[in-house]
Amino acid sequence: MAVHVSTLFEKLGQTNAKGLGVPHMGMVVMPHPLEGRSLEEVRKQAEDAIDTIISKLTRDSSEIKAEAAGAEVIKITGSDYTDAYEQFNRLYLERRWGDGLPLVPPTKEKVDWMLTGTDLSPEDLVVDETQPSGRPATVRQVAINAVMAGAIPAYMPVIIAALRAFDQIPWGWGSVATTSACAPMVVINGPIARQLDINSKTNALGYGWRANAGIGRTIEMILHCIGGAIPGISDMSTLGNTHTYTSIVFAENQDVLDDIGWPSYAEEMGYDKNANTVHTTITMAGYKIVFPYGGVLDTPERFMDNMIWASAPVGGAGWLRGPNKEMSAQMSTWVFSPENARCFALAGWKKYDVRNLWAARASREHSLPKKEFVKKIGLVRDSWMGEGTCEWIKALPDDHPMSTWSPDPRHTHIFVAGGAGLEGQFYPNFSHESYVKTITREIELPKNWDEVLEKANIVPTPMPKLPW
Amino acid sequence: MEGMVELEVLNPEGKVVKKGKTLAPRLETLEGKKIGLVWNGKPNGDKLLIEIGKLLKERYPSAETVSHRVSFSGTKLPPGELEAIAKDIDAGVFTSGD
Repeated sequence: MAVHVSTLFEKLGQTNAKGLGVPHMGMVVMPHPLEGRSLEEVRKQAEDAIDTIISKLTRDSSEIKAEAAGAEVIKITGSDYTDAYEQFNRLYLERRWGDGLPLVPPTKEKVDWMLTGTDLSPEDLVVDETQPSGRPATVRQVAINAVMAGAIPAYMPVIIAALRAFDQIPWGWGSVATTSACAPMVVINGPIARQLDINSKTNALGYGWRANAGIGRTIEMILHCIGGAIPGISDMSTLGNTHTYTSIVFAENQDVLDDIGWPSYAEEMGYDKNANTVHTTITMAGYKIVFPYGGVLDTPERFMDNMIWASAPVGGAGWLRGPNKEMSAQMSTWVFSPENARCFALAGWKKYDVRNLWAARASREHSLPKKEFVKKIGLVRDSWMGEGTCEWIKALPDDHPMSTWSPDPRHTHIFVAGGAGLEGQFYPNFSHESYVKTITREIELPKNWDEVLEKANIVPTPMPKLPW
Repeated sequence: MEGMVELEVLNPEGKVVKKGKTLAPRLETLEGKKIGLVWNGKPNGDKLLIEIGKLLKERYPSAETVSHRVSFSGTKLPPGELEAIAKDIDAGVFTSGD
């Protein structure tokens, strides 16, 4: 087997090969980028590489050394505690363990304390094989990362459920290596949101709450330290995303849902209102939904128009090549503010009315006739896969409307969170519904949950009540 | 070390996986072999593989090339996908990355 990677992706290829357990895999590195080169240039690259390719297929290679096992316990010395703490941070951050911000030292005592938040065994697997490193994420490793991220034991059940949900997303681990600027989104429903003081109100997706930040930073820490996502080596995000410090972690605003009579996301998924659930997906950066310049947002129809306008810039972001050579369209996630949701609910609209109408309108209004669409998106390629994939598209009439937005309302997800104001956000998901799904899992609590909560002694952050 | 503070911290990476996998034995020649050209879906990777296929056929006229495409350009393919491709070929040239 010979694998081609481009120069800038060489280390990612090596990391993947190690993760697959075959660090000696033959690799041929091409000048970056391959995209945008003429056929003549591509042919020249093939000619330049063919001798090496044949060599890799016919001769053993061992130029990449196997990864050496790292020490499980690392000793840090300093002239005093402050110095030792600084030396610890210097060493860990130099090893690319973490997010660049200071870390909490994962001493054995702190890790044992973190493990009191779960009744799973430290050796139990949360994820059997993270990517690209191929390392397993045991409960103990999760706890080590949770300490480093500043979490507390009571967050462990949410962290474990969120990570298991992340692992179920088909392209979840792929999202940590991609050139795209994406980040995990983790939404919580159920009484645990209030118990842990997970913010669901003003600034819910922002800073200021230990639960939102601690749960999310742990997830990110695990993607880096266990999964092996390292910028420039195995995380190739061209620009990155500031949400990758703490993921996007928030709870739905249950007070508002109760007030307007809308189901929570968990209830939409068939769970009981009192079930503790986590919903994990991968999104791109958020967009402002509402553009009230000179307009009046007094009707759901006007608000729906804003949703359509907000989604216009990313109408072409979906990928059309599904794994089964089928059409596969872009997913969307909406975080409505309470006032956004009330605008619909007071006019008698149900959540599914919004999803149905948006999916129908976006897929129709952000569409082009097939002939133009294919020309712009480059859907019909002059090579074998394009032709193979697109036979059924070729059979459609030239004026057939085509869109990258999914017309299926099940690919539109709505959460309600935040405080006063119209500033809900639109989060196009990373890629289409075959690659990125929103995975819901029930949060499993330890038998002594009441005791864990009592020890956590979480004091709810006072927040202003909305005026209804 | 008198006066020094020592801090013992745990490695966050986890244990190195030892899967005991080895690479398949290299082929002695590509003559008469079925070579997979496996595209990860990234732009121009397919064209590159077509050109590589042509060059392989020039050097080894009795070799056969066959085109495949994996469903994800990222990591962790669905179970069985890679195995199905491997069953179909004697050796493979895969594209990876952008």
